[in-house]
Amino acid sequence: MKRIATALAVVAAAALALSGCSATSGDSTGTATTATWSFTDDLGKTVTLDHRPTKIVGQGETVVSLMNYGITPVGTFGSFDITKDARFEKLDTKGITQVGTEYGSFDLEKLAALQPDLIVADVYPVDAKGTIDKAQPDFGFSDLAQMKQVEAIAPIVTIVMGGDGADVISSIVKLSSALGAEAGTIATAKKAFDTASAKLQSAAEESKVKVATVYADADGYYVVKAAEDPALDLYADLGVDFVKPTPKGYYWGIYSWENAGKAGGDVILLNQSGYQKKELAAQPTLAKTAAITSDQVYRWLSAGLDYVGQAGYMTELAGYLAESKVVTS
Amino acid sequence: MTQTAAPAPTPAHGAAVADRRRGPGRRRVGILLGLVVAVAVTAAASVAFGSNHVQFLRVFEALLHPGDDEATTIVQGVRIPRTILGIVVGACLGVAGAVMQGQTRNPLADPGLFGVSAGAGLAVVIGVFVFGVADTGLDVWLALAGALVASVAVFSITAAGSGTASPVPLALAGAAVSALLDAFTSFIVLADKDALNAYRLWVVGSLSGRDAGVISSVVPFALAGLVLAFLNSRALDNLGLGSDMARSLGQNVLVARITGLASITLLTAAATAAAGPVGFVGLVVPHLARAIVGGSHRYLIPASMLIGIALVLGADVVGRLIGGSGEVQVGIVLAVLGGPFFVAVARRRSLVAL
Repeated sequence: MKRIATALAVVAAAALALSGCSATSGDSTGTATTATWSFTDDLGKTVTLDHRPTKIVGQGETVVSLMNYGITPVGTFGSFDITKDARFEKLDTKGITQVGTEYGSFDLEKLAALQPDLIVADVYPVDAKGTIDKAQPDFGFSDLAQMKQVEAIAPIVTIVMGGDGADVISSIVKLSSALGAEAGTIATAKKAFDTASAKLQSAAEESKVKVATVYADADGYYVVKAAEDPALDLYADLGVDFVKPTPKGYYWGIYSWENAGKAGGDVILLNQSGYQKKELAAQPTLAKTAAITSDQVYRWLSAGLDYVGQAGYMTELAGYLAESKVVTS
Repeated sequence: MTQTAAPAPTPAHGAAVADRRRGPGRRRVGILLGLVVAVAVTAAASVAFGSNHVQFLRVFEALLHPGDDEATTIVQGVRIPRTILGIVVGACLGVAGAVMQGQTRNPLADPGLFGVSAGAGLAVVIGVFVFGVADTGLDVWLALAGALVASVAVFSITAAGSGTASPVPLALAGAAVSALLDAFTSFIVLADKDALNAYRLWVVGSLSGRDAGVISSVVPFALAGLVLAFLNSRALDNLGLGSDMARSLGQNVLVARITGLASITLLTAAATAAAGPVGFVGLVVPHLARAIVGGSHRYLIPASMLIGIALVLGADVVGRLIGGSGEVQVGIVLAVLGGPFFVAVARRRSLVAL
């Protein structure tokens, strides 16, 4: 119920924001000085500017989606280097200044020098109910004080990375449109997304494999609870059968290496950081599991929640499912 | 961070000498045998208990008649290698701590003081940064190399500056080199995400998920370090009286210092390469050992070795049992449980009896 209420609120806010936009800037492309731009984000915060923001700095994993819709930022921050990230492979990152490539690291002088109009951030819920902890900063900020410092340079809009994947996708579409993404670009991407969805759906239906989405390191074997990851939730809706980890906790089911053999799955989708295939196979409890012995380990990309990124990874995943077999009983 | 005791004989040093004059007391041999039993018990617990609740009967079966079942995989594949790793790490850190405190005559001395942990950490990070991938097999050798280079650097700086390797300049040079190496490490991990990930994993001491090959890589270094530590024990008693007094007793101070330094470096490097930096053991174990067997290094070193093993294995078992189906790293258990324990011991006994 709460989710529906939130969705309604988001839709209402979107409607308000869109009407606000069209009223002021719909026919004023030539007279930008008098136009105003206003956007209400997923947290209900409204940012109003005297023109549509053109200089945008954003958190890497949201920026990738904006770029997929043709919005190029002037800068990025977040927990990785965009020039080395697989999600940015097909995008032109030249001319984008990275003001931070580690969680919580910001070069504030560099950020200020970019003179951004708007900062695009995202935030993750802290539990399965989708609660956003207001005492915590958005993702990628070390604390509220740092977020305030950044906000003093430019206003922040926040995308909520939780709940239904479809909701996150539409909220990113909403923001991209407000930032000037062309309707045609989005429509074309949506078509590719629909095609990929259909492909994934039929692949899932045919293969019937169980899928474990995993991050692993020396501390243990972490299996994602698919319902709590927006993208995996999207794939589950299309029929991909994810394992349901038994350990308690939000988002991850954490298995020690002694227990890793219990996690199950015919197919392992493996995070790009942490242990890779060879290291998984070196763990005695995992080495004998069917997924490892039958070599059904593939990459888990955490593609951006946009039509382009998702179409790409869904097609990839459909291929993995098609070539995999049910190997556990 | 580090305070160094003034190099003047205190009544406690006299006590150490008196201990030795009394000869090999039966009581202390009995205590050492008791510690051997404690080690055996914790080792058995380490094989018997874990986050996967295998029944005891199945554990025995897996030990006596290894089959192809889950219990065998867990006991033979996970718990036994992990127990051996715990024994190596505990023995190394306990002894390294005892030698370090004996050499520096500083009750707060910790095996990391010679820049060994900082050097090992930097080497692991450089390895990832330069070679691109984190390979657990390679990490061990990098950590060993980094630890050795760092301690040789510390020793050379001290020897070049003061002509001798006396404790105060050694500790100062160690602190300075550690700070420098840590700065380099921070610089690299802030610039490179892969290096940060590798470092983050490495920096919390843990016995979990380590490649079994790690054990065979570090054991030769650990054994060499232990042998040097035992060879160093008489010299440590003499050094406890101060360098001048030791010299007048016929002790070659430079040889004694080099032997001790080599021992500390090999032991700490082996432990650090095997499990990452595990704090607390090297600091607290010698104090516990001194409290029960006295200050003579002939007993103090074996007692530190045994207590170190029992402490690391015990903390690791606790960490496996409190994490649900996950686990808590041994380094964290040691810090959380060990801190208050150390305070309690410190309040009850005079710990500065070096």
